[in-house]
Amino acid sequence: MKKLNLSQRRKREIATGYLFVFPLFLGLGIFHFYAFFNNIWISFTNKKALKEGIFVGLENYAKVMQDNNFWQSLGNTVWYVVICVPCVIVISTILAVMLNSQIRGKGIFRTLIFFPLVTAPSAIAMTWRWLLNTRYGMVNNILQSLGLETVAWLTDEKYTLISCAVVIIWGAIGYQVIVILAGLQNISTTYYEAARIDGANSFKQFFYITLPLLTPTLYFVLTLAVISMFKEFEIVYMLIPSTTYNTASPAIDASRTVVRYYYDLTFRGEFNEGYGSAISVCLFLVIMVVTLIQNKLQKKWVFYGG
Amino acid sequence: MKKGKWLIYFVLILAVTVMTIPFLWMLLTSFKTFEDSTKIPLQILPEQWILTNYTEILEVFPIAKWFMNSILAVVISLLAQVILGSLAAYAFARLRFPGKEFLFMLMLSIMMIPEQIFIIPRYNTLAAVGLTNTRVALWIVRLFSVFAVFMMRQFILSVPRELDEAAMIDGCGYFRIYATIILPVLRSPIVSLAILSGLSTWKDMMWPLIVIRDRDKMPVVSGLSTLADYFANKYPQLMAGGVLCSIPVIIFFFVLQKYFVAGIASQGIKE
Repeated sequence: MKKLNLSQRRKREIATGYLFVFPLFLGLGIFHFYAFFNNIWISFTNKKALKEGIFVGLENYAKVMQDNNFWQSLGNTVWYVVICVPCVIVISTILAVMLNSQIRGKGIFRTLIFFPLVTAPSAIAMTWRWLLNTRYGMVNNILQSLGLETVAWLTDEKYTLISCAVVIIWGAIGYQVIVILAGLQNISTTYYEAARIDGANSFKQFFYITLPLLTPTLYFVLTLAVISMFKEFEIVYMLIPSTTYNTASPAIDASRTVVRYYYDLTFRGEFNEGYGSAISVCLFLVIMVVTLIQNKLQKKWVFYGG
Repeated sequence: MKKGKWLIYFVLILAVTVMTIPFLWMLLTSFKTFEDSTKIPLQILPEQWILTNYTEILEVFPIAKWFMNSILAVVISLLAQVILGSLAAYAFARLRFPGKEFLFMLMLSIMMIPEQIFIIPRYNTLAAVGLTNTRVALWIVRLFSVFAVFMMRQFILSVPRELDEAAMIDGCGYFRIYATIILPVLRSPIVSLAILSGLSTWKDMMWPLIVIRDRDKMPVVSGLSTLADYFANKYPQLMAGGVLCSIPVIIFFFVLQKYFVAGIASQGIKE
């Protein structure tokens, strides 16, 4: 290669920089930036079914504000966060701590707990629909043989949300156990040695060493779990399915998340793009607010020393 | 053995039971006749083991094709994410050019946005060029991953600069440095990326449901969901479909478990 003087070399560095980020930004430009702003624009129009729309101002947003189904789906989503996130975190932490202790057969336990992680969500939902079937399902048959009352898990609107929540928790644990296990393995063993010399039992060790040092990991798991709950779609969609002509029933209304409502309304309905995009913008705003709150709270309880 | 250990074994065995019973029940039901599956009280093992549920499914549903479509989408999107992502990651980590910080922040801001907000415009864009209801639609929107760039950039920052500076003095151009020094050291983030991005492409259901109509062109996850419409309440058939669609992946996971764990774990650890 011929010798370049300084300014030539600098020019080449700049050109290379742009050249290397260009292909990525071309794609991001079309499928992210343009899509984002286009979606916002569409939300101010009455665009429908691929036809051109005209500007209607805030009409779609006014409609969203008065849409009971939207508010119900947002309420459901909050319920999923409230029910599922603590359960997932507590159960995953307990399992991870146990898997991290000195026991036999660790590998097998671990593999079996990770199973749902790679299974297609539609297969998970189908299997649980069968387990929760009112007449022939395993769950109700067990309840019956124990002399307990059976429940129409998937059709009684009093129970559909809790049924979905259980399946969501069941499906989310494997992933979080892996993340928490990694966090545990990052904690230096010297802390435990010191504690043992001081005579701390395993419960004390857990609450005074493991838990504080695990807070950065737990914070990460919390953020991940909350955001994924706000985007939950597959399980609720498959577990309480809609029929071709009917995307609404009390059982569906009582369990669907915002994302499912967005999907049902936009893609199983008349492809009302204006209204659909307005809902997606509202979802975006909700997630922004949640993320900001989480970042504020983080400073209160995450321990970054040690 | 100490009392504490018994508690640990008890809890773990309970957990494993709860995690695996649905799979076992899916497997057992898939070999039952419809009558067997609906007997009350429950009958755990099939009275007669039959395979017709499987043959019936395979006659109607192109499950092998679904796997091909899923695998193709996973592989193509991953390749693009690695190549485009590592080029950009190298530029962001090592090169100086005006507007770099701005472009980087612009890129990161995308990570905050829920996917749903892009869907309608993406659908319209693909419809305008006639790509809806094609296999291309499955992966084309997944070629550009901000997460991939971010992850690889972090990794490159931890690689000592002396390596590429020495190469520079030897007269290597930027592309040579990228190809011979940077790309080879990116092996571990690429493995993690393969797991995370592969899992997310594999499991994605909404986009394929929206963009693919023909049964032949579907990936496994959305294809399987059409099974439920077709067989309604014939659970032995549905379970057979579930088995066919999950067993290959479970075996794959079993073999590569180490990488799955490392890949997912890498997400939670901050430098």
